Amino acid sequence: MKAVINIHTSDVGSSLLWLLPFVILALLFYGNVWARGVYQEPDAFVQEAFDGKPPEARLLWLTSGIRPKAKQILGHEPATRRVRYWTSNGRSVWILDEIGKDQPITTGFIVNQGKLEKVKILVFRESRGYEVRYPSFTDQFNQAGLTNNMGLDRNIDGISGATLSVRAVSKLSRLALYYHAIIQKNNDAP
Amino acid sequence: MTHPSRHKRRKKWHSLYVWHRYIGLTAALFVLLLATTGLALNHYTSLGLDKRFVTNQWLLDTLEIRPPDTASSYQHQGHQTVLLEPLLWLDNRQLAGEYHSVTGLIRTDDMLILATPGELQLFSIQGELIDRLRSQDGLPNAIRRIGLSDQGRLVIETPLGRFKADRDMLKWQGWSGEAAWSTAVDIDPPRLQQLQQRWRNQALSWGKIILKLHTGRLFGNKGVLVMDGAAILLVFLSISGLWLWLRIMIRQRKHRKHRHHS
Repeated sequence: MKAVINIHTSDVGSSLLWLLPFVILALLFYGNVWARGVYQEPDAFVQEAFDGKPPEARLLWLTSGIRPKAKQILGHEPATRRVRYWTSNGRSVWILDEIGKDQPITTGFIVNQGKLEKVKILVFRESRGYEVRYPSFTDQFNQAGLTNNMGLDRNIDGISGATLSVRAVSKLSRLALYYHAIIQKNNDAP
Repeated sequence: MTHPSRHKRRKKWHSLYVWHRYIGLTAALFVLLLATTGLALNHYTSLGLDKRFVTNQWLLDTLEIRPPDTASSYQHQGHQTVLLEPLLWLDNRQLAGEYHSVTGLIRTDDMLILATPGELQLFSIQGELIDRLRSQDGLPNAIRRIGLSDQGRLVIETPLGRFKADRDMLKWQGWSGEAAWSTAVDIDPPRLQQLQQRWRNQALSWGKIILKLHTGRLFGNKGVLVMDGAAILLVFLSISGLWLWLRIMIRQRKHRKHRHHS
């Protein structure tokens, strides 16, 4: 006996509905797998910032005068007592780490005359919140400065599902601006 | 009277139903176990499962949680580092992270410098972390040993040769002199025992127990085989479930069509 199954196009659509959960799972998995990675080596970021001729690295020691404000920005004590930076002609480059949820996000900052010139996620190790690496997010920081309250002088739109990563990058951008202000102040001091 | 081939087919379908039902019943236990442990693993950090450790000695003995018999240790001017893989202590403080090798400890006038093959960690004398230097910071790779030059500068030895650091340890230059090298020392047995106990008390987090339960490894290789069996049952259930559902759906459509035509 020949079984003839006559199914309309709409039936085909509904019978394929069971595939939907698998497709969603596959998409989620795809996103997570590609979330983690080194997007640019920190060294390459520094090279690029100074057109291949970076100045020598310098150290900012987080003395007792600096640490409380850094702590205020981060919400916890800075992990180390000194920070490396590169500076030339009023521009400075900072490579900073902050934990989003579980893992540190390494971010590169170029600060020019007290304003952020560039923000770039260099290494992302978390399994979620990778959307912060997109220029559509990081470009929001361009030309942002620091207010007297240690906040950014503009609103940064968040990303749903990436709240902790957004918070981490925002904190680091304020920290980079704060550190820049300190080295500028030190340079201006007689 | 029913047609014999139809009868045979119906019997076959009935037997698939029966198998589906009984396998479903058996698999339900595993589904419960997998779902509850899976939920816990999904919220691993927020439940603090990675920070809560099993300290029950009987359970640790049963699961054969034993620290390494030997430790690597370096000492300099009253400071000591001890590595019991993967845990590393500097004096009495356990350092964050996991370590598999340590290559030296040096005390300078104002710093303690701890070396692993790929990193230098700088501490204040009080033990606060000052900085971590890696290859991306210009540190030569694969450090074999560290020492102090005659001028009190940090020197390192790598497969590519010896290098001397500048004052801030940001720049390294090739060097061929001799140094007071940090050398491994034996650790006192009571101290080793004390650290082995500390190692044991944080070797097994509740998160790991739940993961082992999830994979079946808590009961050794047999447990893994049982969970493999459960996974095969679940695969069977999914396929048989889909098959039965598809059959019912096709049959219902046929019925609807017949009714429509009549």
